[in-house]
Amino acid sequence: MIRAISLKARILILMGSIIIMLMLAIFISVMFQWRSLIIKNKLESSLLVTQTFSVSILDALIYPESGLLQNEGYLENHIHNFLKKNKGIQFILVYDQSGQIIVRSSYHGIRQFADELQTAGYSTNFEPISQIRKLDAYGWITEITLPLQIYGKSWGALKMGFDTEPTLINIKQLFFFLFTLTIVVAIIILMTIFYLTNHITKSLSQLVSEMNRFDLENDQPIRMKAGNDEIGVLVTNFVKMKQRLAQSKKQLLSAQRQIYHAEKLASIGRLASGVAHEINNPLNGIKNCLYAIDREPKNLKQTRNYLKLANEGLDHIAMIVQKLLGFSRQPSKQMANVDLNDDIEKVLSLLHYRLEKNNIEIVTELSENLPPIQADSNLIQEVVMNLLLNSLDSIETKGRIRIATGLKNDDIIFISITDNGCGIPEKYLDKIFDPFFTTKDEGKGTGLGLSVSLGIVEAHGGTITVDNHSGSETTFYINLPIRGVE
Amino acid sequence: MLINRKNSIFGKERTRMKYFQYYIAFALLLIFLLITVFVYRSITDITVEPDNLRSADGRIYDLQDKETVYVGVISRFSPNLIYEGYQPIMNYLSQVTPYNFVLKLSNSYEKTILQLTEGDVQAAFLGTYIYLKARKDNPIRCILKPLNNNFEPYFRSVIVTRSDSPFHTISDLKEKKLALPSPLSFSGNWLPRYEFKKYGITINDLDSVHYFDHHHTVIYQVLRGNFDVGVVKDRVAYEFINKGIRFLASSEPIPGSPIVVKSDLDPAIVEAMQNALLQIDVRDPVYKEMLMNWDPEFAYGFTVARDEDYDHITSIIESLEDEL
Repeated sequence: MIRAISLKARILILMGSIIIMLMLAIFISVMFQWRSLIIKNKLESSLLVTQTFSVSILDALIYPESGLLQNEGYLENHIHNFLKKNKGIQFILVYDQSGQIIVRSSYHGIRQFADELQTAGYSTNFEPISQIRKLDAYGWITEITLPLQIYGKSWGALKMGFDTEPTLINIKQLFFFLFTLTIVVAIIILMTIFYLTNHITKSLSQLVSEMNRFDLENDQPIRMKAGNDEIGVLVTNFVKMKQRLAQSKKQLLSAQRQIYHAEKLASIGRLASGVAHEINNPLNGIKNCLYAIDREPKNLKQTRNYLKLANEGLDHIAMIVQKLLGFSRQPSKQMANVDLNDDIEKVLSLLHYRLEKNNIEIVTELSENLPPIQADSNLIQEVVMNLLLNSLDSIETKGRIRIATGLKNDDIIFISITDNGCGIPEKYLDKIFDPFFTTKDEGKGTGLGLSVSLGIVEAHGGTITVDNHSGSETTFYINLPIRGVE
Repeated sequence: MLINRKNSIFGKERTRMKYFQYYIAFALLLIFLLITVFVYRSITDITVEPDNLRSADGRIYDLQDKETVYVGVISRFSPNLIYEGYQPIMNYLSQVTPYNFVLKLSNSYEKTILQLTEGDVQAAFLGTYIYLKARKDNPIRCILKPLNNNFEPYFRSVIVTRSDSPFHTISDLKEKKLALPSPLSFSGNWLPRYEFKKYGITINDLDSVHYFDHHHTVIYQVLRGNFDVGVVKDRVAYEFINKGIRFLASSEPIPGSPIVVKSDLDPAIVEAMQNALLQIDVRDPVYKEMLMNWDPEFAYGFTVARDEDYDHITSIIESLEDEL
């Protein structure tokens, strides 16, 4: 499925995912690292303050032992003064050795602390306990519980609660700062990728457009500038390929022309007997006329009459020679408005002798409303000639050839040539358009007729198909676009 | 027709591809948002659970079901300093003897003697001077005395002055202000009543003399500049070397401050204390580490003390007594 997505989208999604996940991973790790440092710092600073404060608390508990100080409200005063000057401290509690609270800074919300030291199973010998928790009365609080002891000799414990809401606010601010930074950086990176991808795909699209515009018939210079990047290399190579293709096209056309000519000459050879007969008949007539004139030179009426007949015979010969010359002319693919029916008639006239000789009936169903098409008349005649010659060869003697033309739709006209000859064996149907494929005896065919015809029709943007009606009839359909090849 | 159908299929495919891209982008965005929300919830819960509770060094110092021996300490230092330096000794004794040893502080030298004679404490860390004074009239005896850094059972009183003071000999101290520790300590008496005599100086030649409760206070007063010189025991003076204090002179070696018991104290307790403290081998890393926490006066161990060890300085004490 992912292959179905455009290259740009794929790059964006893939790179975008990787970058966003990477940024997210960096953001999370940095966030947790900083959070950890902030909390650690808070715990350490709270512990430091508690330890510092515990010195005076411990003194206040020890001194009365040696009678140096009377602890009459000293602790309470000291704690209250300390709290006054340190607004960030929420409460201070002093426990005795049995875990009972002996001094408290406030009665507000400390009920839960009352026996906590005992119920938690604290002994009087423990390491400082640091914790952060949320209390209903105070919100987030960092609690430090410090044993008041000297080398195991205990006087109880000191618990101090530090306001930790500012720490939480710092963490939240840090979160939003890093989050925004991550988003901004990710967007900048994605935009950069988008720009670069766009640049690449735009260049590729331009190149594709140039490829689509590419026409060997109409060699226009490429409109893209070849840069120094990979796209530039692609463009340069495309230009070179275009030049090679043009060269190949020239060579191909030259070869095609030679093949057409060879095939045409072969067709002329096959027409030779018919042409000779066509010429021979008027020649005999002329010869007879000349003989009669020579015998009665004084008979001016007869002479005039025979000269007229001889002239007609010469005209007929001239017309046949003209047609033969027209057919044998080198193909040049000169597109012009062509009347297909006219071309078919011309070809039929060249084949007249052979058709008659072989006793072949020609049925023409030429559409009267056939519009002229854009084509090369000579080439079209050659195609019709090739197909008719094939039909002639398949019938040999006595048969019927039906030629029809008509409109297939508004854009396409068709020519169909149907014969009731020997037909095409099923196994050869796939091969008949291959060059040099022939089933005729040696010397009778080059095997290029259908191949050349296919090439001509395709060059005109048309198609040739064959329909073998169960061996009884064979029909070749030629479809040609009226407007010619675009 | 076929071409049109193909175009139609291709068009639908393009539309599906377009939506697929949006789905992927939306899914990625959703994942990003979910992770962000999860991270936000995680980081704003700043709960830190307390560590597992454990004893500071794995030992329980609570009083066990053993006979308790109370030990007094003369008020030579402030109470917290006494606990800092002497509580580890009590812990050690409680650990290695069949008795619990508990410190009992007092606010004066005399009160410790009173505690000892009245049975409030069974043993006490006394000063040499107060011991010699008290043994005359009270049934007490010394059992142990600390060794100094030369592993000799002596200490010295040291005259100290600020590093930047112009005084270099005792002769320079005329008309100067003198700070002294307790008048019941050797250091509180040696210079004004014994050493000055050698230089022909009397207390009257001084600007002023003041006695303070603790040795450390003497040093602090000198450092503050309230007094020109002071006298303390060497253990305290060494703490302040390179901290603004220099030595001017010191006394001859004086037998170390003894651990004293009441004469009729159960010999088993005495023996237990002596065995425990005499077995300390300062070269043994285990003991060495333990001694680092003890008062520096006891950092080199103990030796047995006998009353006669102090006899040779009785003349000094008596001369001081004469002055009194």
